[in-house]
Amino acid sequence: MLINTVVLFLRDALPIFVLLSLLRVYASPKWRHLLAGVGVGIMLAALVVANQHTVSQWYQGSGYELLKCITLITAYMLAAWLIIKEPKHVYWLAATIVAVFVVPRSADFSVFVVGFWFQKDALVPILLGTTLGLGICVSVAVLLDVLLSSVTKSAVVRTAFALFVAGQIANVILLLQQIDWLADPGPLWNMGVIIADESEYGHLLKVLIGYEAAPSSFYLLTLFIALLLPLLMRAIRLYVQRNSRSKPEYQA
Amino acid sequence: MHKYKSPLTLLILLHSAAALALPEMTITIRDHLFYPAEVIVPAGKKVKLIFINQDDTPEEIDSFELNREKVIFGNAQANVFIGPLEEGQYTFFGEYHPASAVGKVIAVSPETFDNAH
Repeated sequence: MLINTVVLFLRDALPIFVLLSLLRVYASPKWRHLLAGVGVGIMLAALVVANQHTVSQWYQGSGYELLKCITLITAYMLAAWLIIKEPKHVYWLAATIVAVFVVPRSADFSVFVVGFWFQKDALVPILLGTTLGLGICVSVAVLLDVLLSSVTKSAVVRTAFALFVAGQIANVILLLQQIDWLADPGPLWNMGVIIADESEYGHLLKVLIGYEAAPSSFYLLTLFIALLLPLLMRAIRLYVQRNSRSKPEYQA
Repeated sequence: MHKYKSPLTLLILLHSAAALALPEMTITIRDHLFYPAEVIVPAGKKVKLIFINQDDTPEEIDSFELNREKVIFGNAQANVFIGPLEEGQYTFFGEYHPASAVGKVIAVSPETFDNAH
């Protein structure tokens, strides 16, 4: 139960901590904004968990997946907006991204905690496992924060942020295939021999860049479009802005 | 507006008909174990797996090979669609009880599947 709790906590919480690090370096919000986002997200997740049976039965048992898809798409659209526009004075936008992103992740972990809280001998391993998982997540987040803060080129941090959000939105494809809302064309290749999905590297790369050992064409297409679209739109916005500034001003 | 109703209805009916024609396999979760632990499915076809959780606690079905992850709440049931798969074996496990809840989807040729059923 202890190891299991650590694994589950890492799976659900590590993406949140990576997002917090990326947002802190990229958009420089204050910690109170980010923590407010986490708080709101956890409260919304508690609502979902309290109504888990109802939610899961929506659309012939596809409710939970659809809810995850909606939150992932919303978080992606907000993050894409953050990439396209200048990341200045966007504290509440950053907080909203965190809040929306936290909902499915903390709901997943809460289902496990709530389900086993009253089980005999489960409380201590759950608390201990959560603490250990929290320690690992904080360590990774601090390491990423230090690493990204030392990067002088803002384009590198922006690309890392775009890659992270693209990797998250690509999960929508897997969720839609799972509930038969989207066809599964099968994997294009299988790199499981080099980096398996279930390995430590596989887990970390999944969080950072949406790595899949055996991705389908739909998954890869979504990943690349989601990565390139906001970066391209930002480049166009800057190009238009620069051109409009460089035009000579005619005075009457 | 009325003329668009028919194609839409047809589309929904075709989708429903396709869904109805899917092979279905039922897997029961009891005492954190899968019954049956091995499920034979036809290769090259989409398959609907119905998980019935008879335990009071939830279980999360996870499979790296099938790329699926689904929470089955206590005393509830849920569906997971997989495939079309190539012939081979695909393991899945209960994320909350990975030591005991372990299962396998075995994809065989449609002929072998038809003979087995």
